[in-house]
Amino acid sequence: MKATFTAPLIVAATLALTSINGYADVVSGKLEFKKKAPFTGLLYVPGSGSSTKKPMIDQKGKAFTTKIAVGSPGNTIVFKNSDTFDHNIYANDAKQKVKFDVGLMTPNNSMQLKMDWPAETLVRVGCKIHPKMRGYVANVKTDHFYPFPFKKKVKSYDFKIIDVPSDKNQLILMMPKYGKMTIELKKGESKTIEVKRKKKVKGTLTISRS
Amino acid sequence: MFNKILQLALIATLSIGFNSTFAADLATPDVDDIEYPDDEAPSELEITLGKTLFFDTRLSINRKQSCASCHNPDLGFSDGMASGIGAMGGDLGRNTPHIYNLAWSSAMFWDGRMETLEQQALGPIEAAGEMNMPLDQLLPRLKAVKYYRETFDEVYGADGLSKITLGRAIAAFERTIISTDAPFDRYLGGDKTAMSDSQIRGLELFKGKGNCIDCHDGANFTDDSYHNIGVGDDDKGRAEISGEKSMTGAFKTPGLRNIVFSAPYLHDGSAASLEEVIDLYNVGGKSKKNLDKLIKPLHLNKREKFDLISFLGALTSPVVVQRPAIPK
Repeated sequence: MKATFTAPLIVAATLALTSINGYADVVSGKLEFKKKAPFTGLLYVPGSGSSTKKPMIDQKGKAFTTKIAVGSPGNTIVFKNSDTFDHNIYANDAKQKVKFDVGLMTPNNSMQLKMDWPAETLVRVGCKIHPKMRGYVANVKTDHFYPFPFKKKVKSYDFKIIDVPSDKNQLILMMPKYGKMTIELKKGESKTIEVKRKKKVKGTLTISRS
Repeated sequence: MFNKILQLALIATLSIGFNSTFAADLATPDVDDIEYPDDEAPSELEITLGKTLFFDTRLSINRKQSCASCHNPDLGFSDGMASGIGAMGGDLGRNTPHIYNLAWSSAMFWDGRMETLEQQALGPIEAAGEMNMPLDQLLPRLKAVKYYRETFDEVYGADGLSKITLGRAIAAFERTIISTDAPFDRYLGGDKTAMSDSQIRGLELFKGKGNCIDCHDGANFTDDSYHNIGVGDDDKGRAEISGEKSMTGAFKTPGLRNIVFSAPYLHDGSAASLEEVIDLYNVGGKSKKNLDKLIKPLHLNKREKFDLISFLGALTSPVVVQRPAIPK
């Protein structure tokens, strides 16, 4: 009897708390490209806290294990070398004012780096020893995001971001070589927007909020 | 006895895993992996424009040399000489590298001083020892030609003919110098008769005892990285660009597709043949000074060296380029 009484109480309390905090919306949709998808991308709700997930990039088989790592200013990003070769991780993006170089990373080692560079940036990282290696680190003030590790020959991608704060009506889509795309979206709205690069239409973003 | 069998089984399992990891790494290049400046392949018109420029001697100060003078399609996009010769007749000091499959490359020149083909394309034009043609003089020279004037406008719109679009046009052509249908590719694709027994043994040596794959890996048989392989000359190589002492004498790993066409070999052209290259590796380099730790004596016997060279022959898929008419 006690149990049946307690359970609804917990549910009600949770709903009440959710409502107070304003974490109620779901943003979902589809990102489609006409031809080739870029290397990676990130859709996020700016100004909605900071990432609670620990960003990490590992190296194996002369490649980064992830295409995109997402963190927030002040977070610590972990770089690992699980490979049998020496590696290095660096970024040098004068435009976004991001520059770091962790030096030589010998096999089976890891190191941490504080994300103290400008926020709202998506920066390419590489390995000076193996220039073919490519990855991206996003430094964004949010805990509400959807990373796109785009795949070869795949043009269409579904996405969903849950618990979007109700008072945040803006989303940003960042992709390498594309400008930042800002989307205003209120609860109950649906939109289809052209995704452009250098004024050329490269695809469409269909997005809705419930 | 049981333990012995278990050990052997474990070793066999590990060996299979080891080899399959490397085998997956060697592949046929995929055009979807090419990083085009605009994320899409250039138009035919842009490629033709770049090709015309590539063969046009207007790009050198004295109109004696084009890009194709050193990167000659009939000589494996190299020049057949130990080291290149500039438009003014001077020795360039390094072997002319081939340009096969640079569409996938992330480091240009022996020392990786440029990262993109667009940057690379302009380097030798301007270099005093090479084509010696200042771009500020070259642009008006090209603008005086109706074909260039009109075609640059058509391809690049308002940007027209500029230093940037000149590099883009040449790079667009260079990205079409692609070799992807060698016997090795057909073998990978399932045609087990595409490579001879000797070539198959050579492949195993390449991945195993020869240790070649540690540097010559991936679809184009290069890690795009820099290694001092013990050639023993006094060229500082990558260190001159990066400033790092550890890179002294280190040079970019050349891709091996169509490598049989571009003798002589090594950054100084000191190896007249692939046999000589393998002999150098077999003794773990001539000079041990600052030698890359991956370079060790291989102890290959005569038969193994033959098989290895035989396998390199299986990476051959000629790229035929019809020379364009140069506009008057």
